Amino acid sequence: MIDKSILLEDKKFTVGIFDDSEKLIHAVETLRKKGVKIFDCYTPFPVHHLDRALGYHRSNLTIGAFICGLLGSLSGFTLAYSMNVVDWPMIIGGKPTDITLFTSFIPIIFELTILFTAFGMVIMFFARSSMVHGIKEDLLDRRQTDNHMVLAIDNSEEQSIPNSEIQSLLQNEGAITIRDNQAAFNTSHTPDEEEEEVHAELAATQAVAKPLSKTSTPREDKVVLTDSEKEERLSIIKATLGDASGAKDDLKLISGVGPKYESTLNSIGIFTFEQVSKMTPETIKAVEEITNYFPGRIERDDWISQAIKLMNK
Amino acid sequence: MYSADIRQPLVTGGKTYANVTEDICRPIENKPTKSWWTGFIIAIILLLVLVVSLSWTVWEGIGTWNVNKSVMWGWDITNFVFWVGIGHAGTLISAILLLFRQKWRMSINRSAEAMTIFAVFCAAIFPLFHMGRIWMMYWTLPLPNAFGSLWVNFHSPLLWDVFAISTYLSVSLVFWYIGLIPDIATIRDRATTKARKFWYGLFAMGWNGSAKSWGRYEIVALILAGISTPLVLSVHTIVSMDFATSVIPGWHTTIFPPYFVAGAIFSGFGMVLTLLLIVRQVMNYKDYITTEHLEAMTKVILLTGSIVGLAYITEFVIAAYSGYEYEQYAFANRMFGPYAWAYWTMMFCNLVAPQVFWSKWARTTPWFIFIISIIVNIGMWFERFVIIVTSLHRDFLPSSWVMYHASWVEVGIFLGTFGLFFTCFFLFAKFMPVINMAEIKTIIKDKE
Repeated sequence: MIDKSILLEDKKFTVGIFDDSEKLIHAVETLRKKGVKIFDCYTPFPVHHLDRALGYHRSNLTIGAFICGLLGSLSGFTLAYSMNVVDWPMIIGGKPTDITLFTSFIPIIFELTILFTAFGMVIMFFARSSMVHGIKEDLLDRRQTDNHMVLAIDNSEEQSIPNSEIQSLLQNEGAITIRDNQAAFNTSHTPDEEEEEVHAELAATQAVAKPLSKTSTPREDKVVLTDSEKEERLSIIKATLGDASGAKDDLKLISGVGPKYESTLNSIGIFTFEQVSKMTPETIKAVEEITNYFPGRIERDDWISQAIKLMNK
Repeated sequence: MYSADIRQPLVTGGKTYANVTEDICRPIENKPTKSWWTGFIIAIILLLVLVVSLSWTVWEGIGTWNVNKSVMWGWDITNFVFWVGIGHAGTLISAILLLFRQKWRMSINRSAEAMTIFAVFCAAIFPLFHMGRIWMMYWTLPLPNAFGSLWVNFHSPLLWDVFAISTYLSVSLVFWYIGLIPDIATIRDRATTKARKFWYGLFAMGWNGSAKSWGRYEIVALILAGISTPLVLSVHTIVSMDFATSVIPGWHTTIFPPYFVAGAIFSGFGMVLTLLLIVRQVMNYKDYITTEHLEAMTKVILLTGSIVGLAYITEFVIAAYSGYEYEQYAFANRMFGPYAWAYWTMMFCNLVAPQVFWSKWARTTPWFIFIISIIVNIGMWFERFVIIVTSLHRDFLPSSWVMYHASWVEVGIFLGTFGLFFTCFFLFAKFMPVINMAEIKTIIKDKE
């Protein structure tokens, strides 16, 4: 193993963490307009137009690939020609043994062109991105390969505006977390003393994500309601659905409702199938907003007719 | 991003980025399930059948097979072409569908590429062992040797095959690995055990998803797709030339290259459907591999199946019209000779059966698609059997006419390659993300 980090060693960063690619692109554009130099962005998937927003040029790998391809064609031709024409001509079916054999060499030339292009380009890609087996990864956020998008600004670089202003800009652009003086770390070489801390952190994040993946509740796009807005939604729900008056059905029988969501529903006063069956589009919206349930899911899973069926059982 | 309301979302269930990671890493981070163990053990048993049959072949010689002086290719080359054909869907899906910007490929390309690689492994076994002395297999390569300067014969399609298939295997492997790197990095960053940290850390090659790397990565993926597209077409073209450049009636036709390529895509999609229907059921990936995906794939089956059917009929008409009695005899013998049952099985499975996909119900009913996909696989095996055996068993010289039936060793090797294929596939499904997380995350908010 090469125990060496490549890029970020000894550097400190101001990082803004986003959970939405469009917000990230917008933040990059705003910061660059203000003359802030951005070190790089880190995303779990290729975000289109991010490279343009960062002002990166299209990679020149294509030219390298073309040269490798040419090299492959030449090797294919040289190989076949030197063996079957120069060194040991083979007379097959009385055909001539000179350059007119070229047509038989085409498949070989073709295959070697492709082989050389593919391998040449991939090797260049690894070299250019400093990627090699066993190199330390430089991460600025533990979930940057999962669901977080990181905007990194090098603290040692001269910036046009003070750091505090950059941070407040990031805040305005919708960064979910902002950290100053963040050093790069890695996950695969964590020393033992940090290990337990990391485990606890990871267990916590995964514990949050697990039940959600079952009920498909979104973690992003959360609508945060103020107390008065909550009151308003609750009154809508109460007005249309009425009171359960102590009755209680097993709401888990509705597909899409798990034990956790059932208790959430109970907490806003929904206890029976009858209540669910009375839902109007307005109520559904209110329920979804107040419980952060996935928008549109209640209608898509057709809770109302599910509830009617369950009532009649 | 343009999206019309008539289109269905590519990923259902309202997944978020975190949900995608969680769902797809689940089988890797948890203990294997009972169904995984059951499948894996059956695959291992079949793999043992392969080991026994091949060991017996090497120990005793090719005489353990029933191939003979007339039918010298038999089941062996039938199986070779069958597996190579299956190996075509993976690269087709990831390369050609990438160039056509078909976003539905993203849920299925990872497993299809894996399937490609394992199918090519299986395919390679057949010609190599058919040479008789497997330990001399390096003779197929253009190496300086002990017999003076005798080199390989560059006029021969069999040598082209060596180049085409080894290039195809290595380029597919590279393409697959490049696609895996960001996902391996995701698993590395979630790893809780030392071993997982080490191995995924090793193969992630320090990937951290920087925008600069992604820029280059996308260029690499695009160029690899660009060069893999002609590569896919070339491989089966060259395989078909093994037949087409000979002078055997029934083989010596110019229609072979396009017809073999269409057949390869047809059989490849058949196998992809078989596997994915199992994967989405067993691993519960119905939100990622939706009926939309199945429908798109069945349309490809319908198209390529019809091309193959058209080729069968064209081939027959051309033979009838040629005025060349050996060619005419070869085709009459296929239809009404001793192997007519194989011919009509092929016609039913490849020409008739896929036509059910004109119906929307058939295209969207998983259990029905599963049955048809198996029928397609059977049909495509019989296609190669018909081409090889019926053409060879009636030589120009009636004194050389023979019948050919496989021996237990040949059957064992064929069954055994399924063991190899599924052993590899089960290991893949346990240790690698079956769906490309990074790509899926780009489209969870899109429609098809």
